[in-house]
Amino acid sequence: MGTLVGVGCSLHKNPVYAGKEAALQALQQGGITKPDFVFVFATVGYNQQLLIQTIRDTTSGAPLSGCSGEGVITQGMAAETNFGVCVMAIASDELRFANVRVKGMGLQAGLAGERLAAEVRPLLAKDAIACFLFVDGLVFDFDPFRKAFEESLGHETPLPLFGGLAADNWATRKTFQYHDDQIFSEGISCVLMSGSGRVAWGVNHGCVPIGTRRTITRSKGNIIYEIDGMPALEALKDYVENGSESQWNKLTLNLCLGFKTPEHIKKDYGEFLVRYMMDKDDREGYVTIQSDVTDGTELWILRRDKDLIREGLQAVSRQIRGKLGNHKPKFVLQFECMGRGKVVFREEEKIELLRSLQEDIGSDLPWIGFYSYGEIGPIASYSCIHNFTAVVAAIY
Amino acid sequence: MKGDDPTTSRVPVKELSIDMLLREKEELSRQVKRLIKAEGKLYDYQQELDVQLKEYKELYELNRRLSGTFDIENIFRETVTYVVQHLEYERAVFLRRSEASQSYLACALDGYYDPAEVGLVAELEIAHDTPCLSPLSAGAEYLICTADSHLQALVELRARLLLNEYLIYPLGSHSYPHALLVVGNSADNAVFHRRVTESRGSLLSMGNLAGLVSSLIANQILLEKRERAREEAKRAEEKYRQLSEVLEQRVREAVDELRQKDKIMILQGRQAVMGEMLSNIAHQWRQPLNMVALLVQDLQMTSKMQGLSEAFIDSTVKRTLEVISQMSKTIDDFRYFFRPDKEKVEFPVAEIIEKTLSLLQGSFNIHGIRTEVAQTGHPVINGYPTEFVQVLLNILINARDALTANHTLHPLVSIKLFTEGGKTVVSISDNAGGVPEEIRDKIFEPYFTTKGPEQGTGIGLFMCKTIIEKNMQGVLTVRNVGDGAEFRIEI
Repeated sequence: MGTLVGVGCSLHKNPVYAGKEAALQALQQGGITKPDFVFVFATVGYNQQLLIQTIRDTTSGAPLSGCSGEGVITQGMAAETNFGVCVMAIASDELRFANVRVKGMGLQAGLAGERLAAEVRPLLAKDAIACFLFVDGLVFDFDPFRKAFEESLGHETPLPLFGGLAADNWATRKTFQYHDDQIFSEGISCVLMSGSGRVAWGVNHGCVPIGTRRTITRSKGNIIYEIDGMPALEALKDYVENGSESQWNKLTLNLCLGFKTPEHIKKDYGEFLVRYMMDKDDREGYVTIQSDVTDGTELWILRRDKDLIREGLQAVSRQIRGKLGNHKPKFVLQFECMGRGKVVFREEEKIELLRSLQEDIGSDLPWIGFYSYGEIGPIASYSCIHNFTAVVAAIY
Repeated sequence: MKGDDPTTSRVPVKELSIDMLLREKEELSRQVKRLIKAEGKLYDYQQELDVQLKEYKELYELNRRLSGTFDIENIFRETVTYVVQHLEYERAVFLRRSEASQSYLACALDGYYDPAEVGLVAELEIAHDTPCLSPLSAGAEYLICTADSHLQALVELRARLLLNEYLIYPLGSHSYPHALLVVGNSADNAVFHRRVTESRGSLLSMGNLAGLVSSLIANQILLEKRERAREEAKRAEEKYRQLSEVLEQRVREAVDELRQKDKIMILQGRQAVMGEMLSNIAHQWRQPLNMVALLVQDLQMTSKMQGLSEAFIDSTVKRTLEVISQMSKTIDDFRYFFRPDKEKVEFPVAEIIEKTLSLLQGSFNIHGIRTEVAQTGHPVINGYPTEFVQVLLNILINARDALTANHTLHPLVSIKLFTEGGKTVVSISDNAGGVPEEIRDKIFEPYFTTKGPEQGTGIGLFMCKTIIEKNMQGVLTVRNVGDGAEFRIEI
């Protein structure tokens, strides 16, 4: 049999109709009667319970993992709407998928890493390939999570981590993670992929600095209180219209923070690690990012650059094709920052960029993805979290 | 010179340069910040533009789909689907005006996915005179109930529509809208949908849709009215056609009935005349029969008294045969009178007049009535000779009866035959005093008689008029001339 994969999607507003339509398309496209595993990405307008239940019913109760995104991506389609769902159904005797989850993560990312490792450890086999993580993007702090996860897992070489941070279309109320019949928030949905297969991936952002070096003068964990001795929000206010008081989520899409890339991954990633400011506090004037910083860390204010994004996607394609060699991917997962979608590109431009990438890697490949609040993908052998980045993983 | 000292002039230049560079840096920094702000705005506008373009494209597609439909229910269905699938409102309901219940009834809905909610909204009925709708009658373009509205009339509808915020658009005539389009969101899900606000962009989208659908519905209603009018006209035409057919049938039946009656009357008239003829024949045969009887008796007596000579026998036989021949002619005339006419033929009128007079000769002789016939040329008539005889007999018998009844001293019947204006004219006049003025207009009506029930049937002259005018396309008139009446036949 090898690996059969099919993808379906629906933009219908009725969750039952949409779930059924997407799932049936996936089964039909893959020629699959009963899938071994199902990936689902959907947006937050739906009644999530009805949606997932319908997909589960339609896919014969196959194990299911996924999360909510700001939009969904398939071949030739990138819909950033509150009502979109895409389903990937997989039946394979080459690859195995085991899914686990951690609920109630809260702000204790390190503990969540330990708990997840405890869930994954019994499933680990020698042929483990990678972990796919779908994590609540509103509460996640990647660095302590990764550290705890990798240490607790005790795998001789760290498992490459891919995935995205669940989004809720800037509502910043609640994101959703899917694990079989369960829909939850503040958690992690994890898929361990094992078997005969490999991952070819590419990671790239498209941001450039727009000022001189700044320095973090007061911070704690992933919270930056002061920059150059002034409240962080004060340091940023001149770059945003009407100050920082309204539409924070959209305003911060135009700006991001860049940190010097650690030397061990600089060659593969470039000069700056990009961070999205996922939260702020007007009273104390601080901002929150998705990884930890320390006082004295240098930072630059960055902006998105459309040309760099274009070039970056070409670089992603080159990275993947270079790793694939003559192999054809069985399927592709794409985790795209929501800041690289409709907020920066015209609809036609966006689709054209996506098509260009898909044509480079394979326009006939089962392809699924979502617009995220943060992207997870390894640089060299180090799993990292990214912002304003595209992480594309081709499984072959 | 102090000013030429390079050490003293170099320091200020360097300071100046640093100062300039700092100023330029600050200026550049300001410019970059402005550019970043502008870029942010540009992206926002770009996004708005994309949304608007998408909306216009989808609205165009909707218009194209709906313009081709002649199904108003389909317009309702497509519209609510469009509102939910493309305009991003959570829910939409179409309510159609019902004259019977004086209210608006839900006829299409979308975005309600809970079967219980579907059931509730599908049964929704809003009375025409619901207070919250009154602004629409007064010309308001829409009604709006936002999430923070407190207007009692609008708030009350929330529970019925299952919408926390909503817009109501009238479609069709504003004073009495044909339908209402309600769009909006529930409280739980509003955040994921287009919010109901007074914002220009939001209202523009709905305004465009409402305008399009309103005009489609108006057109549809007009078409339906035209179609109904056409159907009604068709039905009326069909009814008229059926009535005409019934009427024509009745006319045909009435005409047939009349013709049948005419035939019966003509037959009755003929039978009446035949009775008269039989009386004449009897009278005309009495004298020759007497003659034959005398001749036979004479033969017997002569044989007894002196024997029969051959010459006497021959003479007696000859005279007897002459009498019998006369009697036979009378029979022939009588048979001619009763021969049925099957088709029109051209006949010499003088011959018919002569035969008719011969039929009545006996009767006229009894009453001492003299007849005169004045003929100019040899006029002919194309018609039915037997029926023509019947007409002449009737007029002549009437003249005889009048002359007898009036005890006219020198009774006379004058017949003139001539041609006038290309037509054959037969005038029959008497000197019996004429037709009284007061009955002249009635004498051709059926069942009108002056003879009393024992003698007259009242159909004689009516039958004459029918024969001359209907069967032979001529004219029969009467007038008083001199001391009697004149019947004039023109054919």
